[in-house]
Amino acid sequence: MLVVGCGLVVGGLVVLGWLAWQFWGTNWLAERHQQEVSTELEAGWAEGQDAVRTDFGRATAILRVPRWGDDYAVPVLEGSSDDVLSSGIGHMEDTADAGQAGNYVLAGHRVTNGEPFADFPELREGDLVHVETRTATYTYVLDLDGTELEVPFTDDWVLADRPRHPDGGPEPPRGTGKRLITLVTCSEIFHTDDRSVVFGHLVRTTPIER
Amino acid sequence: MGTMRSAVVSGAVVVALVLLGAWGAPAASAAAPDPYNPSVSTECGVTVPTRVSSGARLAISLRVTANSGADCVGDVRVQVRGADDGALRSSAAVLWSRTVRYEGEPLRLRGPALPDGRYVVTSQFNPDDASFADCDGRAVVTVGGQLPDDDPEGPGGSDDNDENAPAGGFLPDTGGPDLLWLLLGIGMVGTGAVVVARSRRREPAAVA
Repeated sequence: MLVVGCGLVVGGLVVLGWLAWQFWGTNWLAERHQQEVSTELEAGWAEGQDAVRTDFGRATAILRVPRWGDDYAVPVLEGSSDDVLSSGIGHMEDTADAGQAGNYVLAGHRVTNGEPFADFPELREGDLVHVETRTATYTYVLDLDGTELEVPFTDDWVLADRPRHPDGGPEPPRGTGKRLITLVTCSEIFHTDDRSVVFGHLVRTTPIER
Repeated sequence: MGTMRSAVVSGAVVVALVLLGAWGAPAASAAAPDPYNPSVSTECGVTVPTRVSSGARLAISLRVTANSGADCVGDVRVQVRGADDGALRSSAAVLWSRTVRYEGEPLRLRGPALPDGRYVVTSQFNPDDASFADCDGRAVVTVGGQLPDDDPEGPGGSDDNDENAPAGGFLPDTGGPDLLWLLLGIGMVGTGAVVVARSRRREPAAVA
């Protein structure tokens, strides 16, 4: 019995240790990945590259959200693989590029892996979101609060060029143009099938000379 | 952000401890159905052009994703049937069928060249790992007629959702681990501690 009890305690501590790594260790690691990617991206931009291949994916932009602090700057990588999402924000496959017509969809962790969208519920309608690329900074204004729309992870209508809520719920307002941005993250701290979503539209393009 | 997360995690620990305390109660162990589905949800994405020209072979993109973030491995059966107003007719004959191996990476297939008309392309995923759920995907393609380049909407998509436009057909897993892991860890430590304490109490009695 003593052996069984000790085994259970050790096994439980291993599980709790793994959880601690998930909630704190992966953040520590991801922040280093983000710094590495940002450094490589800036260097690539200086050499004239629009996209820079890193160990964690192809980086194309840096996201800045003033609501989350003046120093908030997280690299955007192409795709939504685990490697990408553990090193920055993912630009969903086959959605529009930054500033282009269509829907520029970005996904990020709300907890673990750097948690770039940790404060997603604090977003408010009218908040600005800046996407910096090599050639321009695209400024979007959000059309929803961070808690206004939650959908199941299978609701791919939010990825459409012009998302229309199938049940008449929150969606990008009409008349805001064709150049949209959508931010997606998990709606709860622990694992969930629901995702929080905000939409926004492009209001300004500022060319950058490098 | 760290403060909020810590508060929520701490709250979850308290809830877990309360649940753990109630674990020993006979009523609790008898009722409480497991609210968690053991299967990992999957989503099948099948993408085809909205419209292709007459005589052109159909390009089909396949993608299977799991909400766990793990790679989906298994077989995907792809079929093309005739469609009536975009609806799949169960009586419609299968015009083209392939079964391909899916190893976690998106696939592109060259489909058939079809006569003018509307068709439904379906995909059915049969996972190797039984813990993954099956899934189906479908998309509609029109062969012949006005091509997208002539679309009066111009580039940037249509006014409404285009069922062929979204690529993955899923939203990635961007949350933390399952709450069950926390409950499991606390439960194991708690149970183990009780077992150790009881066994150590019995040892002196056995010696005496």
